[in-house]
Amino acid sequence: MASDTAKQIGLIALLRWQILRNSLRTTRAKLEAVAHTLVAVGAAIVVLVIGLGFYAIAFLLVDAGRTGIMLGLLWVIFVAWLILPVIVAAASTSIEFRELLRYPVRFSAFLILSLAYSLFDPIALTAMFWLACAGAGFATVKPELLLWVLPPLLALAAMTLLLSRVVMNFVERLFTKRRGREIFFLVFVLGMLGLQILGIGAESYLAPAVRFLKTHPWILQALPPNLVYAAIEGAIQGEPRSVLAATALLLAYAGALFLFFRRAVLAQYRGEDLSESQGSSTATSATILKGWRVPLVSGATAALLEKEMRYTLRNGFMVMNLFIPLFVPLVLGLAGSSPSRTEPFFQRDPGILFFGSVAYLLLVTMHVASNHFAFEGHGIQFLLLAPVEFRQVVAAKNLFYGALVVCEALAIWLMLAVLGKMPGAESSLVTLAVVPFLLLSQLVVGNLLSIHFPRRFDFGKFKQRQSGMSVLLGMTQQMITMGIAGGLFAVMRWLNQLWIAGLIYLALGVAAWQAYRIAFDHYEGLARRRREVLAAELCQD
Amino acid sequence: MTAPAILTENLTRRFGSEAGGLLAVDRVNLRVEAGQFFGFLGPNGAGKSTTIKMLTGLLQPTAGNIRVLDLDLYANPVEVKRQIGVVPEGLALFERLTGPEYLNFAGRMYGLDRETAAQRAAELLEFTELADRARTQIGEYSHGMKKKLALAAAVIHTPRVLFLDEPFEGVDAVAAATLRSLMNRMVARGVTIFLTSHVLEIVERLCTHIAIIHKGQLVAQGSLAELRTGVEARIAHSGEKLTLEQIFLEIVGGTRAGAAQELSWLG
Repeated sequence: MASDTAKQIGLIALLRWQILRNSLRTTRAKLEAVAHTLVAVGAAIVVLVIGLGFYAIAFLLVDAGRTGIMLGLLWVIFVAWLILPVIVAAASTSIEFRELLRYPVRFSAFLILSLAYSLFDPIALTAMFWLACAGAGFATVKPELLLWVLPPLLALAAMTLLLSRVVMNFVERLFTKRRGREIFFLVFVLGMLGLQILGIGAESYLAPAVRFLKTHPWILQALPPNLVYAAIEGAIQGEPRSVLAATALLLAYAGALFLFFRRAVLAQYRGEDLSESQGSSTATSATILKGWRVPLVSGATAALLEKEMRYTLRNGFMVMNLFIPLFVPLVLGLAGSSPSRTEPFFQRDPGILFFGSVAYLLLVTMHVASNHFAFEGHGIQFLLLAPVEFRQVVAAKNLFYGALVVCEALAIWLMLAVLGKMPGAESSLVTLAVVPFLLLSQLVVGNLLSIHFPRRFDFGKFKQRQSGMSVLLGMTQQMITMGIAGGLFAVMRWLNQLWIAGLIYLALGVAAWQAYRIAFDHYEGLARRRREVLAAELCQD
Repeated sequence: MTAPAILTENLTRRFGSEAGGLLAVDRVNLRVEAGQFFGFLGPNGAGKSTTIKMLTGLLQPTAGNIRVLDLDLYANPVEVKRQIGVVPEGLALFERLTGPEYLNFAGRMYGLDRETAAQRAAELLEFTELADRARTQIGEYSHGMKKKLALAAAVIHTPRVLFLDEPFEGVDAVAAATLRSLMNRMVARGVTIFLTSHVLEIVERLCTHIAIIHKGQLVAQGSLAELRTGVEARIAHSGEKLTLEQIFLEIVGGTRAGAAQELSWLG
């Protein structure tokens, strides 16, 4: 039986290799592979630099006798491992395991493959590398303790790996069903309104939680990074019992999480489909409602906008993406708001928080702007067959996306106001003035990428593989425009002349509009030449 | 004399390079008169879908011209698209919309006003017996339901020419009857229908004119009677009227010799 499982795993590895080899036959695919490699190399450099930073911090501070830094590092890595998969979902790997189920694959092979893919997820690899760097920094100073700290570190890695999979599975389930999204949205809105109505400031409602944790220290001590730190301290003080106890508890956590993970994989093995579904196919009739009427636009454009809205609201992946930017001001606005600390950076200047949140919003929704047709599926054929110019379709998508960004920017502003961190009038206006420049430049590049390098996305899945070229070129565009906008904001704020930045943003916005208009005239011919790629890429099942 | 509904001249499509590529459609000259129910047949991989994709503007020809309703397709794409309805391979459905939402959307994209689009959507849903699934997303429809919905969307703007790529593939008898009924009504009103199908019995029953493509080349074109006469003149037969299947097999080459001896391990 074990040899059967090994044979099946080997066959699946061979299958994936053949798929990879065959997928590199066209020039476009080769370009994609080059782009993916460049993006991976760029990301690896960033990961490496941060890892070296962890090593240096651990080495220097532990050498100086401040071993407490290890606790901070462990927490940073632990939180990053859990949060990064949600924030950069579009950039992480996506494997369609259900495809394997058509073959007589044993559950053991399926489970091992699921674990293996979790292990080789770029974010998991990143976090494990950082953990190794921090551990290496410690071990360089105290090499005699390496064998003692290695087991709890490995147990932490195993536990966090499983925890991140279980959390992602939960989030996917929550956002896949309409009811889940509605409940989440309701809780979120009621929570924010409740805080506002009760007049509770950010500083005051975290204070009781901090006090509670201080009076019940065992809660903090039982958390995974604290357990590893306790093991490290035990090793330093020559208390093997505390090392063993902490490792055993971490392994127990890992064991419990493995059961949850196994349950999720088993459900998938038995044919569970997490893609978006109504959940019921009972026969129901409905009155046919007339389509939207949108002032100033044609009937076809109104129909396209209506369709975009329906698709967005029915897509858990998109809804999640739109929610994340609302959390940024919440998290950064509250960060370090413990009464015992000095007022944190973002709380001193909500203007920066607003500017940063809007920039983050554009960054996190970049995959929408650079892959407009991702969710169309076979519907792309309808758009190509319909008696409208293709650039009208692009314009409708841009209009919808632009409206979404503007509405969300306003929602972020409102959120800050609710949190009692309302940005000043000057900061608010300057931030809103930068939106046209950032948005239009994003669309100029994004529209071209959407037509040149389309990539089909599935509903209800968070991990979707972007086109390598889209990521590479989209990120380059973002770095340039956001670098210009952020640099101007920083310099003018420092000179206390923020309004000048606002004027420059408006001028840049006009230039971006001109660029958009010039590019817009070319979309029709471009779409005509690229329609086969669009249809072939988006219609594949 | 009225212009043909569809006219192609030396329509050619090559995939890949001149030397090693695949010549999927090779200098095809089609002529479909207005009001004809035209069946476009061919074995798998013969070039049927490639041809219909070129005729509807989904695929660029390598060479040749296409005129639909006397309009050059590539000079007037929007005008041509306004007058045709298409059910392509893959159906062109937005799977996360419900049936009524999709039909409404299709109607408005084809220039209908809100009231007309909603009214026709309701009528088409009734006709195709999909009205009781009005709240179900298309992704959850059965294959037959999807085909009926795709056909409903293709006719919502009363096109003058209807292109159907394998409309009966994977469809049960009940759904097929609905599709046939809708098509017959369209032809009775003067609409030209151009369909590809592997179900030769249905083509024989519905189509007045037929063309057969084989290895990218048009090997026969005419009314069913003309094709029958042509084949009967070439072969010795019992005197009984040849079916379309017999005509088709005779034209494209029939079964492979020796096939029965292969795969002996299957028993």
